[in-house]
Amino acid sequence: MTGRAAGRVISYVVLVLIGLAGIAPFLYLLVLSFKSRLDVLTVPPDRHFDWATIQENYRTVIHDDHYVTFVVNSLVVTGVATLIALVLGVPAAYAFSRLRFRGADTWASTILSFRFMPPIAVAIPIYLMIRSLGFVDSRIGLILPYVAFSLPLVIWIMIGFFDEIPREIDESAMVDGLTRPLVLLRVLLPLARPGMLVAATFGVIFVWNEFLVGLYLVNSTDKETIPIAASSLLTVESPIDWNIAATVGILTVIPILIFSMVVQRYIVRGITAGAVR
Amino acid sequence: MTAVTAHAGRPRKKARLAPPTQGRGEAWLLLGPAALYLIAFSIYPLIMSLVRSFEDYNQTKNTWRWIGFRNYADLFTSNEFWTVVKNTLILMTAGVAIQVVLGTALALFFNQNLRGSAIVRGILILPMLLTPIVVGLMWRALLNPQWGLLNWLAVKMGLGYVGWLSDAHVAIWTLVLVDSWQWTPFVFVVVYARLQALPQEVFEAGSVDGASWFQRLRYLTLPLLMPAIVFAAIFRGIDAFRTFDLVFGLTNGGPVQATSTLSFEGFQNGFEFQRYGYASAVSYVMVIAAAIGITLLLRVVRVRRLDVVT
Amino acid sequence: MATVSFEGVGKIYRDGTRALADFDLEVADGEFMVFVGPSGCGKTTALRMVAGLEDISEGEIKLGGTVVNGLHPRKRDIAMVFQNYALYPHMTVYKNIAFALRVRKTPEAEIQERVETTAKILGLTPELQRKPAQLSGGQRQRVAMGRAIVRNPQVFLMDEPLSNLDAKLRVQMRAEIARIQREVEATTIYVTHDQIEAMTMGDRVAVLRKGALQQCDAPQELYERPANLFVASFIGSPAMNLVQARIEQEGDRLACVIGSQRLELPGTLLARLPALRTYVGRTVALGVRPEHLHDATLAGQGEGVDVLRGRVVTTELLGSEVLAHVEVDAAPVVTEEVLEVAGDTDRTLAEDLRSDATERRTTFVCRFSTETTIRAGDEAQVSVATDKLQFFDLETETAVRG
Repeated sequence: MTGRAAGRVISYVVLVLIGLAGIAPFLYLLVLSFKSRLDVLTVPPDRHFDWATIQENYRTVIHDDHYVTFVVNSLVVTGVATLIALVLGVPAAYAFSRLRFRGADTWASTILSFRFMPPIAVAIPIYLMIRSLGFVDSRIGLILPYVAFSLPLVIWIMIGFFDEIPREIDESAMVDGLTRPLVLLRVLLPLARPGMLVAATFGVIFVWNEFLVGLYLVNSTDKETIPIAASSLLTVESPIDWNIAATVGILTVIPILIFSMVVQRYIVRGITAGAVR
Repeated sequence: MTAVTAHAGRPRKKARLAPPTQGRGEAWLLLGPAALYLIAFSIYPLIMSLVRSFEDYNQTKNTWRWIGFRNYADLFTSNEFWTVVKNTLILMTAGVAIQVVLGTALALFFNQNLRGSAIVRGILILPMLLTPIVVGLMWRALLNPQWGLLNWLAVKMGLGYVGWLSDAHVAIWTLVLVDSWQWTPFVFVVVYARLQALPQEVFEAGSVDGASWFQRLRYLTLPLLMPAIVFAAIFRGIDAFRTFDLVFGLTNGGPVQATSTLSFEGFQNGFEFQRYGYASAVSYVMVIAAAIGITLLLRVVRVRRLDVVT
Repeated sequence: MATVSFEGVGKIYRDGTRALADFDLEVADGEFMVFVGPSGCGKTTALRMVAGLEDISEGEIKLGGTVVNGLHPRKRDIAMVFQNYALYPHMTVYKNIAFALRVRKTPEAEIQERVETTAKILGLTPELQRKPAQLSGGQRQRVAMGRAIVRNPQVFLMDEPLSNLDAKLRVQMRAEIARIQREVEATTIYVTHDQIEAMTMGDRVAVLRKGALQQCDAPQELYERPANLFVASFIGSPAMNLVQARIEQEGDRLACVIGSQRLELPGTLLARLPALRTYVGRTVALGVRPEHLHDATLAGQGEGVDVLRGRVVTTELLGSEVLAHVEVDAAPVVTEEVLEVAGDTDRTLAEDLRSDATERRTTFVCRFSTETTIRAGDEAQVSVATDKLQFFDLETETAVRG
């Protein structure tokens, strides 16, 4: 069966090309981050690498540009905002999944619409609000709107997961003497853990990457998160040293790369939750 | 990053009397905090946006003045606004179309389950997770007019020099290209998951019934995938409508307004030019368009319950 | 219509497991052939190889005399009914049935006529515009059948088509499939793990075990003259009673010793199985069907009948008869094959058999007339129709023949 063998070879060639298309921009950026300012201009990039240059580039970004500060800020803001979103969102999702109350439908679709709303529609008033609350240039000032942005996401993902848990489990727990909130706390939360991981994953990715609102809420370096710092360093207009820019890019990507490898299955599950069920 | 769930289609129970297992305050206890938070940080700002869209902001005095529909009138009579609308529509139609076709093709390709394809699938997830700033940076490097790899390739292949980001007619399509690089994987993931969940026997039955590869694709695979494809297209369409970050990272709306989108227009006017009133009007046009879109969407998703697979 | 022949067919999966070995079989034109066996015996693999859904690792499969190895399923002109029906969920019943005709570009008028005729045969006419999800299990099963018969294919393949139905519907559909098959006179291969289905439906039944064909015969033949211990224990419900017995010479006659008891073997049996004489002094497996065991207080005596005594363990009243479980002090037959069949139905049964073997006691299941007065705990006199006894070599596990 040579026809089939040839087909397999073609399939593998296509597979490699797809992989390359996905990863080539990353690799290109990585290569640029290993070059000196002048070597960047060589097309195509040669295979000349120089350890001192690499060290120089990364040292510049990590030390001179407060990379560590940004990472810490990102971690704190992302962690706290996601946690709050879960604490608020999970009980709400449980209520939507289980309870009958007036206006449930309206509330549910309102929350879903927030997921679809252009962030710019609320960005300006939120900016003005945070400004008048005096939280500009603080982590709280970032966390407050970020929670609002990821809350609808959390609620909608969690409703789906709660819907999958049979009601009989609640009912038997209540027959055993638990109240609703206790049922949620003691029985359903352990069962809904995969759902919470999916919701948290998406919350984290969203918050970690956000910069539209943050860009103007924060203007001192020591409060900036990674994408905010990156976007003020790398705006289209500003003249940039490409080797340094590439290094910033790589250092911005690395945390999300590690994170995504750890949580890949939750990501796929979250994306497909609506489509496959 | 977009997270997606469409419970929009799940049948809602008619509100009946609460069962005895449901205490009066419980709904509020569980729902109240989230509701209050959203009222404070989503609904209130949304209303404020509406109010501001009828006002003019004086930057020096930090005061607001009611000017009625003037912002909207300015908006609808400006060429810039209609250019921006056109750009947004190109992203929503051409971009999403490319992504749906490529994403579905990728799903079919990966359905062969070649050894090693799991690694490539993992790679394909990455673009979706990236900070848009970095996506912009990567592609600005690739597309750089002096030393970018893509122009070098274009010249090598005899296409000649392309003004990817500098030519006003090309730039919007460059945006479509990069958006597709980042988001085709989303369509792929959705469609692929559905494809893997389809029962193998249906396709075996198709073979036995005499359908060729193409007939199975046309009459079995694609119709069975259609709910997932529609779902992915709708979500991509909504996100394309809101496109902001990629414009910010890649072109900053330029050259001139050639690649600006509605969101970017709102952002620029608001945050860069401090024209808060005008920006609010732009964003409210978006809100209304989105509201109409969402209403239609909920109807579609409700109708399109996935067929129960026997 | 066509014949199907398997010539030395074997299947080895990519992971190295062998599903079928050296399989030879000829299915005649218009014949209803049943493949039966416990799970993992290779019956479904054999069927899927005919369909072209599995590669053929060894040997050849011919449809109507033409080798079809390597031919795509769609070019084989076969129709298949899948275990879970595999209906096209997005198509109406009409479109499901019409699909095969449509992809062959049959004229629309002809499609309509054929689909409607098929629907009539199956009683699906009112359901034609509904989708699979709206149908009951029985109706879905019919649609799957309809999809097959509308084609008028060379061969029908059915992979456990009734296993997803409830017991009552299964009996009903069993008769219906048999009727339809006779009407359309299609060569049919039907796979099942249910030996009752196999016995009631097949013109011939092929019994498979661990990828090897054990015996292929008409149902009655299979029941009366099983080729080996596996077939003997697999076919029939309740199963054939198997016990170890020693053959002894007694003048010019033979007798068999079962534990502490002795059964005279009649001349008619010896005339049928002269080879039994070569087993004198050796232990064999003795098989006796439950219906050949009667309550001695009710049955007549004479040539070809002898009596065995045992303790009644339990009785099951079935209305038309009484199943009496009678324990006899003799070692049961515990070969790997018997254990496999027992374990397939009930794990504890296999374990009971093992412990019985160490304690040297065998429980016989007997079909008694309802007139019997026997109760659990009684000492029973069981009359054995000794001319119906069957014997198997304990080493080769094959039947003593000729």
